[in-house]
Amino acid sequence: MPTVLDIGLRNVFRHPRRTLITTATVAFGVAFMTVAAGFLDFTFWGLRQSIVYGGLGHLQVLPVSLESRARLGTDVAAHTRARLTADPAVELVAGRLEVQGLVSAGNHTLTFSGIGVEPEQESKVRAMMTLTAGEWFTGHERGPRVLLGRGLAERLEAQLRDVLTVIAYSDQGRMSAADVQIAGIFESGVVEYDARTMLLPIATARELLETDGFTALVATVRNAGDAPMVARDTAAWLGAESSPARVQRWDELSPIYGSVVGLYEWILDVFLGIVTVVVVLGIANTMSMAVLERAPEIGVLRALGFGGGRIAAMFLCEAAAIGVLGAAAGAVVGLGACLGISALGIDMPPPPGHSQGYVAAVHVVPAAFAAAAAIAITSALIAGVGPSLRAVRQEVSDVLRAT
Amino acid sequence: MTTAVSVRDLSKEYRTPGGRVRALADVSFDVERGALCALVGPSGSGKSTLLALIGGLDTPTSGEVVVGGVALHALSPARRSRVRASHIGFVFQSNNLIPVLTAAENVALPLTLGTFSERERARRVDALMDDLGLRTLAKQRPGELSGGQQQRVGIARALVTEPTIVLADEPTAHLDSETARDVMHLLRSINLRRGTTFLVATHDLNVQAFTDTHLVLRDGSLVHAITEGSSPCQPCSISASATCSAIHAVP
Repeated sequence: MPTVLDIGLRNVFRHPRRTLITTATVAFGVAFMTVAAGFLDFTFWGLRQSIVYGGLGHLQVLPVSLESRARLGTDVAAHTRARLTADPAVELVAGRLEVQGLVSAGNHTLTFSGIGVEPEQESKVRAMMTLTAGEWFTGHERGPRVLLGRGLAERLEAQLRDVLTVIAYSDQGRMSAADVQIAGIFESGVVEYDARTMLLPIATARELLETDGFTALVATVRNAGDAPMVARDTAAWLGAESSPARVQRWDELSPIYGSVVGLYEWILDVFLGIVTVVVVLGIANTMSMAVLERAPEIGVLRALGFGGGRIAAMFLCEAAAIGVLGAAAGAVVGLGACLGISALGIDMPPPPGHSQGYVAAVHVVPAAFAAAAAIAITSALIAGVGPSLRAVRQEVSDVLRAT
Repeated sequence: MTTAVSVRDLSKEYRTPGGRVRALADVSFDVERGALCALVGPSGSGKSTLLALIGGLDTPTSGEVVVGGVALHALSPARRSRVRASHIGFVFQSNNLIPVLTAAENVALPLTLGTFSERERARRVDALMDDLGLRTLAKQRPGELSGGQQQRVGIARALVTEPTIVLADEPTAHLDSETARDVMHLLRSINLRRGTTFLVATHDLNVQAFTDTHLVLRDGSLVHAITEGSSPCQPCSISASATCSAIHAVP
């Protein structure tokens, strides 16, 4: 026996072309939402990766003091390193000692920002860094070797294997100097960073600064999602031990990530709002046409004793069915677009302040598919409310008199 | 005989941009169970308005309508809907079948509102489809049926709840004369075999030949009530007339 819901569902296919156009509108909206969300997810993932594996790590243990020459003492650093390394969620821990000074090559002398690193661990923390020439130093070479940022090398007019003189003030206030050889030239992607940064063995940095401490211990975790938990735990035991060290997550050290995510998500929300309005208007138009055309049928159903609720349910069912069909079609199109775009790759230009472009992909984000489908179906139902109420409010006698 | 429909002092006014228009003025009559009555009159005489009021599709400005013992004029729209579903069948001038349903599903449609078992629903639909010669058309959609066949399906739909009265508004208006005659033969046959009460609004003189009694409306007023074999009478005198067995017009 047919119910009003059966009638509503069958009416979906009554005007195939109109239904196709409306469904296509919904499908376009859903596909757009899934692709846009997938692209943003890739963008955020790429940004996170470039921040974390560009050298920041997932978390850093730093001296509590914000003074420029504050250090983690060897005991504190060793203890902290041991506890972090014992955590199965932690991938690696790398020690750093920052040094600022002057670097000379030939007739050029420039200020530089140096980072003394433990080469083996640091090369993993800087997995996203590109060596444009040369190779990583091991720290065990006969003389000290360094990596120069591309901009710094260009400003010094220095070539691979050139010898540079590095001068710095030690923690004791004495001026110290060392000759180092260029082992490689790197690009982090950030022009400003590459114009002043030098990576050198931590042993060389210690000689220059006459200290055996660290300015930071950098840690990465195996699963990025564990970073907040590891940071929380670390902060807890550092506090419990009254350690002169503190911990900061990567997103606290690089607040630009939060700003970028906030901006992009705001833009996406605006687009989603526009798409949703288009979907609602499309379905509302189709349903209004349906109510107008089916006035005699509405009158008949009312005359037979069908109440307003059932009539409204019939039209809402039809609207929801269009939403479901559109969502399903949109999900298929969206999935195809995500996979297709990722397979082909999109060459993106360098972002502002960066020197390298990248190949963009679109992630398949199941949550985005679910949300897009929910938005489409909800929008369809909302779009169906007005026409349904108009159908219910029609005077039955007027409708029948007109037929 | 018991009364199927009782109408007393029924009036209906509409508001229009030009002022108030009186569509019905103090109409009173009874329709006995088992009658086949024609409601006749020219266009604009108030036939459709009267049917809408008797069917509970509209509310009167004043007066009373009682169908199957239920005072429709005193009910809310929702209650009137329920009364329509159980007591009143409708046959429209355009058959107004639901195009996406088959003939059998169209016939079964009013039963979805009741508390009938699946078996009872199937029994009623099958019986009517057989009775009205629609068995072979059960799975056809309205678009695949001729005008006459569609009207038969519409009549079956009106009968399926076994209503107190079937109201038919110009049921032959869109049919050729031969098909119109067939449809009226069918209504007459159902009336005689099943004892179904019909009130048929029409201005087709051929239709009037199939009915027992005629209520004549003009300018919203009931001007004559004629029963087969009797001469036209003024409404005021008919109430006392012994010849008007099927219908009583009451002053």
